[in-house]
Amino acid sequence: MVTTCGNPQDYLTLKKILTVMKLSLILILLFSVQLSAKVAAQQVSLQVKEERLDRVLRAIYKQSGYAFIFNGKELHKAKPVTLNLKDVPLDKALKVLFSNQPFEYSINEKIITVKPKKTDLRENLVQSFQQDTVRGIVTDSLGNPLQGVTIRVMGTDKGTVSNEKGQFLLLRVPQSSTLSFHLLGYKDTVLGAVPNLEVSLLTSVGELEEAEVIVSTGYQEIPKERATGSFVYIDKKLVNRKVSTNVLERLDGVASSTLFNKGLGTGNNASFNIRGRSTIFANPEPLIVMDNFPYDGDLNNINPNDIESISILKDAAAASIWGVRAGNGVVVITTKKGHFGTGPQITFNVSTSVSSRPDLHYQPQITSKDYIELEQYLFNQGYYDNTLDNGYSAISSAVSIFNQTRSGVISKSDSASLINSLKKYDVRNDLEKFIYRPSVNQQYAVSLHGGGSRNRYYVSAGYNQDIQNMKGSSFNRFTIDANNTYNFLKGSLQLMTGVFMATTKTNSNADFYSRPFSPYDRLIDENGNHLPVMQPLGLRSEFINNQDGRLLDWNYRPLDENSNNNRSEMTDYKVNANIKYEIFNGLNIGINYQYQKGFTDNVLSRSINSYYVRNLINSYTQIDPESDVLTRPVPLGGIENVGNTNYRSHYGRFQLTYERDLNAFGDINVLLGSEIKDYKFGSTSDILYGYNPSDGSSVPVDHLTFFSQYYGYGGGYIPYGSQKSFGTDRVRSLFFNGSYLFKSRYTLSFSARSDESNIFGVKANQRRVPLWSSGLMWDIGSESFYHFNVIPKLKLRFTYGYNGNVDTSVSAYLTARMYEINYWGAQSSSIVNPPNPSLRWERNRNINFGLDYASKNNLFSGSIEYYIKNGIDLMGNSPIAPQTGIIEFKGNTANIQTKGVDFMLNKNSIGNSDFQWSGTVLFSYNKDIITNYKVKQPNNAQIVIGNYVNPVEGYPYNAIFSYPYRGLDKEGKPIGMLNNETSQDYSSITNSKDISNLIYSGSATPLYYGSVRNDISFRNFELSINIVYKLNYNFRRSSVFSGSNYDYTVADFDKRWQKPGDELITNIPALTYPINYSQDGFYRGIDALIERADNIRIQDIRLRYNFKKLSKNKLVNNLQLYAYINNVGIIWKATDQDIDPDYLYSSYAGPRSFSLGITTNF
Amino acid sequence: MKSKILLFIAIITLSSGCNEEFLDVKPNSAILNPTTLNEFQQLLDNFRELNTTGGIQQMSSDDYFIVDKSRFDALTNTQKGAYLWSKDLYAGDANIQDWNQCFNAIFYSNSVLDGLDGISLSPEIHKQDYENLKGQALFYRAYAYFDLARNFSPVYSKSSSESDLGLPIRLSSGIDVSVERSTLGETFSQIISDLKSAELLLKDEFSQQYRNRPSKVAVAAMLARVYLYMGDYNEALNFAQQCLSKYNKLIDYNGVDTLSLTPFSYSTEEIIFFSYQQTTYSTTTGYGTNQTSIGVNPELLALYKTNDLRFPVFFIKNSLGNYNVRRGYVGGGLYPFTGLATDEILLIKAECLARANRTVEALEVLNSLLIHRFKEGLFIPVTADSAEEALGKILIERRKELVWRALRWSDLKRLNRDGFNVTLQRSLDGETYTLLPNSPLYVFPIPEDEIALSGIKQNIRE
Repeated sequence: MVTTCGNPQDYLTLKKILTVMKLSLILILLFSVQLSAKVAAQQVSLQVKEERLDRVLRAIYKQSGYAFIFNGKELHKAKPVTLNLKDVPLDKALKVLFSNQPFEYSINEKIITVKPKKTDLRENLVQSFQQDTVRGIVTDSLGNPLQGVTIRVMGTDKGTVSNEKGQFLLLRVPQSSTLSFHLLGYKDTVLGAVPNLEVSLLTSVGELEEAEVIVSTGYQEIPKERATGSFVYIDKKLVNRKVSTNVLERLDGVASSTLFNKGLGTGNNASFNIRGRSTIFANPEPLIVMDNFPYDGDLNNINPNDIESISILKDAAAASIWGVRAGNGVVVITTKKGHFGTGPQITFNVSTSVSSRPDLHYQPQITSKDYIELEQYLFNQGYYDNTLDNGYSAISSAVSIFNQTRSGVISKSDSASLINSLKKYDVRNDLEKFIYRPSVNQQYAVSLHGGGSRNRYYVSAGYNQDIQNMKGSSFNRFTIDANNTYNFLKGSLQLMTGVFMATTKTNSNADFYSRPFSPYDRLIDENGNHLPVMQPLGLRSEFINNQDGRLLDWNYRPLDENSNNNRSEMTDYKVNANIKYEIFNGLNIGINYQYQKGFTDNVLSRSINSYYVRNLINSYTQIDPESDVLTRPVPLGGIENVGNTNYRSHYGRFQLTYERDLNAFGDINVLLGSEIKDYKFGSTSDILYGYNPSDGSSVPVDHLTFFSQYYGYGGGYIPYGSQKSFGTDRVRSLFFNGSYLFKSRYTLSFSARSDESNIFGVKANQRRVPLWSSGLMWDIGSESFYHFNVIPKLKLRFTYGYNGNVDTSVSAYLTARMYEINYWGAQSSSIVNPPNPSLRWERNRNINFGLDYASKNNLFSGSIEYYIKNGIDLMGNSPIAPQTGIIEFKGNTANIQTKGVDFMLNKNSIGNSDFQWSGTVLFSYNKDIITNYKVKQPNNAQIVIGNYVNPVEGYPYNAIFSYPYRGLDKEGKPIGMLNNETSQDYSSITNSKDISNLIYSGSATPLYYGSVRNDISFRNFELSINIVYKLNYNFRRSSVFSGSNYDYTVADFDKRWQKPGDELITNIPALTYPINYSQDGFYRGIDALIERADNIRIQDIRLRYNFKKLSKNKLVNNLQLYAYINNVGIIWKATDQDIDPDYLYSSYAGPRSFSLGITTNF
Repeated sequence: MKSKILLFIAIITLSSGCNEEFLDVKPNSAILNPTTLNEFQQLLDNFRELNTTGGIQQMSSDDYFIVDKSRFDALTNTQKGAYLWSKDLYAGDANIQDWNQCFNAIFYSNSVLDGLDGISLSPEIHKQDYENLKGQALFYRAYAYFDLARNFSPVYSKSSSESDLGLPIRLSSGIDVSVERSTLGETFSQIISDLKSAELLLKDEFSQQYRNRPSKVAVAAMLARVYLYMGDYNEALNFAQQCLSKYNKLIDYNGVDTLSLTPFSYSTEEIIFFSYQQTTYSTTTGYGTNQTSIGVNPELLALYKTNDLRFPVFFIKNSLGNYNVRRGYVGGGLYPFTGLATDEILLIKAECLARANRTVEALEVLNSLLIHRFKEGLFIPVTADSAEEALGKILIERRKELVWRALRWSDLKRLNRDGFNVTLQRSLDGETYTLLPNSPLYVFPIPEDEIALSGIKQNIRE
């Protein structure tokens, strides 16, 4: 199959060949030659023994393309078939086949109708005298024309198939006969024959047999029916249900077992998890595959309109073909292709989404009035004295007034009126008005697709323009996707080429004014002048205004900084080619190649007018005390941070597949192949000083001298930013996947993969990791003993196997990392990790039990799955005696176990042609526990603050711990517990090492989650509502007044203890001075601040209207209008706090967005 | 057609064969697998790992006081324990850098030494460069071990050196074994043998640029420091002289800006070998202009005479009216200089001469240093009537000159051994704490995690 050795030139030869291939494939694609059709006489070969008739008919269909209409209920009448035919013309083969069967057949176009032999001559005669012509059009419920619908005149051998416009024509149809309409994926429909028919077929979602779902593993497409593994399939319709720029966001709330990690604070968490956690410190993100290969570019570059379907691979049997990269699950994105034998069709989709201005009052905080009172108290206590004494550090306007009053600069009454005027302001109002804005996202997508008998094509272009909530922030994207498939040699050779290109532009304001110094700051006065404000590390106005006139203006005016100074442009393209050749019946050989390249240019451009530049120049300004000469080590002019990153990847794959129906011996399906990956990335960056944007010139600066700062006693070096880095990621793999179906009820599967990579830089024999999985499926419903009529369809699945994961931060050798240039001008490096000769890949042992079911008449269908994942050999830290020079050693020492249940229930469409109702219920249970972890957290404070740094054995990765709290004492001081006794020794409580002094307050990730989606259609309207729920999880309120934190962003200051007796009605401590860090640390970690995060929300609502009448118009086939509301609102939440658990730590909750769109095709 | 296709497939298939080089590519430019001399030099140039010393000895010394109880309360347990000479010094604090950081430096040195073993000399690899690098690594190892020995072992005394506990001696980088504590005698002979081997290997010239790198001058200076601590004054004198014969530059403080907040640079001419105090305890040991938690011991400040430029150069008054140390030989750095400098070597020479009853020479050496420290023309040379008086004056000057250089603690240890009999006292919140001469509390406890993980013997502190 694959040579196991060769000389070093082989790889280069391959590269050359592939490069040439790549070019020629583009040419083929661009010139898109239409191949002439050559009709060949249909010949078939059949070698069967005692085989069921329907299977023989299927084999004929596969070989000839002639479809059969056959009533399955009459199958029991059929006799077993034994035949040995080789390259026999079809008509002759049929004659032989039916010679001893109680059936007769007739051929009409490409449809062969099989029916029981009839003897009633009179009936035939009557029919032949009363005949009519029937013409009509078949569409789906949205009015899209359906091609390939089999239309049969019942009781006769007449039939036809609808064309690409959904039209059909039947001549000489007996009067008052009935027509049946059949198409895979739609419900069979029966109607009386009238001359002009308009038929719309209803989809049969989730029907086990009729709607054959094809899932993709990225290596092969397999009917979900026959897969032992655990897959989630998201079709085009579901992908397009949401309106969003990013494709993965569209999985949120509709994909079973997939949880988007919203509201999680810190830790090594992925943006979304498939079946919970599988690792601790290694990469937690699922692998994203687009068509055949992992997608190396930015996911924001994919146009969701180009997506045909998404398959999520959950267990080992589904994902182990991806080996070491599959540990966190795999998301396989399949893009749209054209269809053979359809005329050109153009689809156009345009939508606009608008969201409101963010509400910055979302997080509770002290009112301006209360905060000024707090400042007054602290001022009187002398809290600000050190800061005031140095003469330059930033102080708030109120403190400045207090200070001036104390030193007699302003009178008491002036002070009072100034303070009173401050109390009225709320800077959040100014921010909402001048820094934020409503967002507007526009999407345009157009595609052209179709195909002849020998080729098919899909070309699309998409444009997105997102104007984001922060002023100056925007995102633009332009995408092109083009693919083309050709068949040669009677279809035994297939060539597919594809080109994908995306360019994006992102603008943002790097100096975005996010956190005002005081809650009552003002950005603009009554006359519209932009006002200067304090910055946390800035300088106070009294200092600024008394400086040497030769300095630049040192004021910071946020509204003057409102520019989109940070711009990045990304270009990403991907070219692929795919050859498939059928050597002989069932044996295919395939070669895939993909080249992807992307580069991003980043420019952060700050002019001399920006505060950043003015501040840097002023801070470094030197004034010689003797000569009074002023020098500026940072030159006048702009500062330009430039950078670019780039990557390119080659993927090559060679694979053999063998599919064979061995008749009585079952079906066999085998895939064997090898793959190679070569991924390179690099980046460079630089900082240019004294930059002149008109000619691009800049000025060299002295980075090696330590300059003292203009004010205070500090100093530093001028920031140096010339950097270059690069790297290579290479993988070589062998894989095998096989399944065997016998007696039509038992499927056995086995999959294995071995990867070798350069990432560890280890010896050749340690680079390789073999991973495997195996699965079993039993179709109980097909057993003769199974007679349970309520659930006629029942299947059991069981899989077992291993996936892997990678931690690229470790190595088997002593590795070092480039570090700084030291003070003496020498490049230094630091040791990253000591040699670890026993390093292994992380592994995930997966066990999955699955049950697929469907009720009678397919009213309900779905699946239940139970899984256990054991992360073993996970990278974990182990303590090691410090005399070795190292205190923690990273090695394969930790384990994690994740258990869960996934449940899916589809209520399939019911109702009549006017009204239909269908729905889906998703439910997942998921719990992870760290089962082995060597390093203990140094003390309880560390466990409370950051359990994830060194997870605690026996608890989830995202566990929340808290200190038991016993209310306030008579002085308003919080009471805690230490060693089972009440205690107010906060530092002993927080420094305790005994974990029994803590309370486990549950996990920060939901134990139960899922969604309930209802789709209702009434005539031309279609409504879809998705309700998402997340249950049994917790969060810690982080911004609460602790008595000893003086920041204005905390809540409940007004509820604090103020007088004896208050301890009976409040939990908020009295104001404490001086600052007591241990009280603050303790109070922030108490159990009383833990809240349940459970919530149920209406995630989104979609309403669609179909202009069905337009289907008669020749120009436009159909037109749909849709409206969509995202983030509709919370229906129920467990906490009384006015906070959305999905947006715990952001300054505003996700604004509700409204979209309107049109889809049409012609 | 069919055969053409099969041929094409055959070519593709055959050419996808493997060559081992394919997987030998370095995954990331930022990751090095050090194998060349240059890469080993880069490791040794990481001064943050290799040129650091502990801080507990500074915090335990009598150079400073903590202002009040509330400021004391804000400190870490180790800072508190070191200040009050508590028996349970760390009180639960983990990751004690005074121990860990030195062993980290030893790990770096051993990694380089192990790596050098795997390199054979070739036309591209010059013997001199190779040996110079090896000499550097040996020096760093000795430097770290000496810092550990003065903190975690009793003061060296020849009579008890075979029974006193020294340190685990690690001579290879492998992390899979832990080593028992050697005797203090073995520890010191390892330090001396490493330094003496380094002397043979290092290049002759002293690099004015790379003052972070070990040199022959640094070896001599270090040997002088080590022998002085061991009480071998003849050897200390011998190496101090060796050192000064090669390098003896002094700065005249008359040329130093007494107003500047950064009077010196990282390459100040007096520096023979740069090291600084690890960064954990900056609130009680760091340089800085407004360290309000602490003040320099007024008794110490009172020792500086008028016209002594060291006072305005070294100290600055903070917002509470106490004095803080402005900055030493570290440019704009905030962590105290603890390396080897010519002033220290001159003081070692003077002390050893006085101990050898060579009073005149001793005072001559002392005055040659002090004249650079006083306002020009206003220096009155130190005189003494006896060697003993001279020694006393030299030791006072040593304290004043080497203030905040982490030498006071080890000086107290060795001087008390020799009968100096200094009792230290502190008071905090109305309570008085006393440290008697030669108390076992002079030996810091070995961090708990080390004891727990390697099972080595703990120091007895009562």
